[in-house]
Amino acid sequence: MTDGLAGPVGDAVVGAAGIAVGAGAPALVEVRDLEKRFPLRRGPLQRETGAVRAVDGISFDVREGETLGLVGESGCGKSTTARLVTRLLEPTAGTIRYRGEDITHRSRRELMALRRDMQMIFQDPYSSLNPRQTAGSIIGEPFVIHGIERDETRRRARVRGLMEQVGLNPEHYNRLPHEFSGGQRQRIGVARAIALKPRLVIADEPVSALDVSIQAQIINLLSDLQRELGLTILFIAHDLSVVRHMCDRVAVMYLGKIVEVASAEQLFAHPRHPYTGALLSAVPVPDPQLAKLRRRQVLGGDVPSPTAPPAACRFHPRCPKAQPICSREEPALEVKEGGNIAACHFPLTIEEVAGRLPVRPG
Amino acid sequence: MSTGAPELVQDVGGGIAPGRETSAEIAARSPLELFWRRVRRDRVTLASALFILGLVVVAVFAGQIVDLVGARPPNEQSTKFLDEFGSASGPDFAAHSYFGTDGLGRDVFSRTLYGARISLEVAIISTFLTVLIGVVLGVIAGYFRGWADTLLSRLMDVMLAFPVLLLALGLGAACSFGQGCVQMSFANVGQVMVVFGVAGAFLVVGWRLLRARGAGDARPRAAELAAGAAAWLVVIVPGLVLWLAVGGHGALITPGLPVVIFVIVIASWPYIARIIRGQTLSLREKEFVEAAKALGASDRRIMFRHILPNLVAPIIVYTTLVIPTTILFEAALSFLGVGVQPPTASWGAMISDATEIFDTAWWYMTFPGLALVLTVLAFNLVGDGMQDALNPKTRGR
Ligand code: SF4
Repeated sequence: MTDGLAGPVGDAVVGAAGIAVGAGAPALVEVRDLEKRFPLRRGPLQRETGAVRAVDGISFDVREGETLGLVGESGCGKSTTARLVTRLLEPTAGTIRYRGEDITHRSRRELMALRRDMQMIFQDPYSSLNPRQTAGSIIGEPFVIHGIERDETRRRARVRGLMEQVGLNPEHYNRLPHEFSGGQRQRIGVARAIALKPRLVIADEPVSALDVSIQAQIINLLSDLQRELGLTILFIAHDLSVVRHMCDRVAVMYLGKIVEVASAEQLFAHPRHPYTGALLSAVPVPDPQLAKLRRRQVLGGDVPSPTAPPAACRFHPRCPKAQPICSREEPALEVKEGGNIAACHFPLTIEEVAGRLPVRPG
Repeated sequence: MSTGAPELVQDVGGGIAPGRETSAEIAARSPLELFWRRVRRDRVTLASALFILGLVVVAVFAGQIVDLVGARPPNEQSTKFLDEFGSASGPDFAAHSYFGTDGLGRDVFSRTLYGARISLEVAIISTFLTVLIGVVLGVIAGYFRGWADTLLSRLMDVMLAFPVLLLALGLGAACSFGQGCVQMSFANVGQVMVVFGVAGAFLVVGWRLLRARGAGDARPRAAELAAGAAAWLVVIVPGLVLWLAVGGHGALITPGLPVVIFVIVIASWPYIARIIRGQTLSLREKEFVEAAKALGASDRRIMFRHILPNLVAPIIVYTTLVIPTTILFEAALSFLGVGVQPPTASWGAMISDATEIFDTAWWYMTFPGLALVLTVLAFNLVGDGMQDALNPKTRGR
């Protein structure tokens, strides 16, 4: 399967979507119809009274060497997706393949080898580092767990090398996390993630807890490391501005479903799904002239509860283009004008798109 | 910064950002340094700590101190030291009877010093066991959740609801008959343990099955059920051993230090376990635990390297707060007659004796009472001080 998206949608339709970036590169991770439900229990007998459908049947590929962005508001299931792919959570249904092998229900022991290959960077640099461990011992932990570099001095040397690689002073080896700034802490998290030279790094909102001035540094660091180490990155973010400079392709999630997938250029030039359009109109614009021209579209209403998601198109209660059919028939993910893959009965047109984009159309 | 610890804000290459980044380098203080700074400024805590230190010295060198000041050994009875009516005599410095004597002519001063020894012995052993059991079971319940948590939490509820003082009173009442022993052999205890364990195992399995029916899930795995039931072997097996192996010899439970420690530990561990369970529940959701899992760390590694080190502060605080309650507990048990047995000196037993002659011999109750109050107060104050010093939310000072 060389297409970006497959599964229930129909390979024929999607296969025609020659998404430029990375087309032809083999898929490192293939996710099909992935589902995760968290049961809600109540009462003395703990009866299951319902379930949060955090991830509700999504399919995507992460191709070797690319950076795939996964974007959506908080609560849309993107972090759950990250934890399903890394198998920190047990999927309810669907399959996850890594390099062709089904890893959906592997046990913890069977996953050990995979853990070396697949690493994660976490959102909060304050809670993702054990406050009682020194920087050196945090970065060295992967070696200890996997029994690599058992020799103390050689391990230290490797850890120092890693610290340098991520832009930390190796002399701070014995410092505790609270002695570092937020940006430096995130660098420690990055060093820990790349210690075992993984193929795939899953970054769960790695910069959203950081100051804006520091965000760019961490993004640049990730880009540099990707080039040096040939990493594949699944980059999760809650707004599109961060994703833009980092990602080759972007998938937009809303309430546990993927609503649009496109290459970064396509998505920013002509979003097709109204939700993507709304997200894009919220991206700040550096050009004041353009900012004046732009109509900001603020989404009305709250995100509906994932315990009882709206029928058919889940976006219909908030969608400016909604029609009766939207609450009756679920739109399929299919190729729209311009090559984007979107799930919408009435995709955005060129005119509608024009006023909202953070870039000049064309 | 909510941690209260000044932070080093200088990102590599991040010097362009204005303001705080350029404002020189603030020396970072380690938590330990911060802790000492705070304790040193807290005079009450410091004074209490010194008092406790003194108490420890007194307890360890009780014999030497008694010799040094010329007082009599604690268990020496002598009618010479009673007054002309044959009852307790008050303090008399000339006779080296600093705190007076009790009704049997024993020296209250040396008995009070030796009482400190018993108090601290009980406090140290039972606090150690309480904290050990509480931390181990609390971490297991909080970390593994599921049936282990259900089982342990219910056990804690049962223990907390158990009328321990009533049990102690019952033991005390039974003790006043015959030879001063409880006529309950180890075999009886063993039988009770076996019945309790088997009933518990059935209850757990029944509960799991019932719950699974209600939830309409797949049936619980047999292994899980077996494990739930097997947990009760912890009670059943020693019960059987007691019943069949030891009990046959008609061993008797005699009140004394081991019983005191047993009762105290049984009554106190659930408090610690609850607190530690709560803390573990919140720690296990932290991203650093998730990070360790993503690296492939084992449960043992996560518990020992990531959870326990972060529990050190609460463990220290609650340990210092458990010590005074165990001291009081020992005193209460001895007061009720199920504690340390005569003639060994114990503050609780002395106070108990003193109630009978309080109207004629004020000194007999006053000195051990004062020792008890001051000791408990000192431990409590140190505990509070520790809590303040280790709590990142109490700032500066
Ligand atoms: S399908 Fe209808 S409701 Fe859903 S996004 Fe498209 S236009 Fe809006």
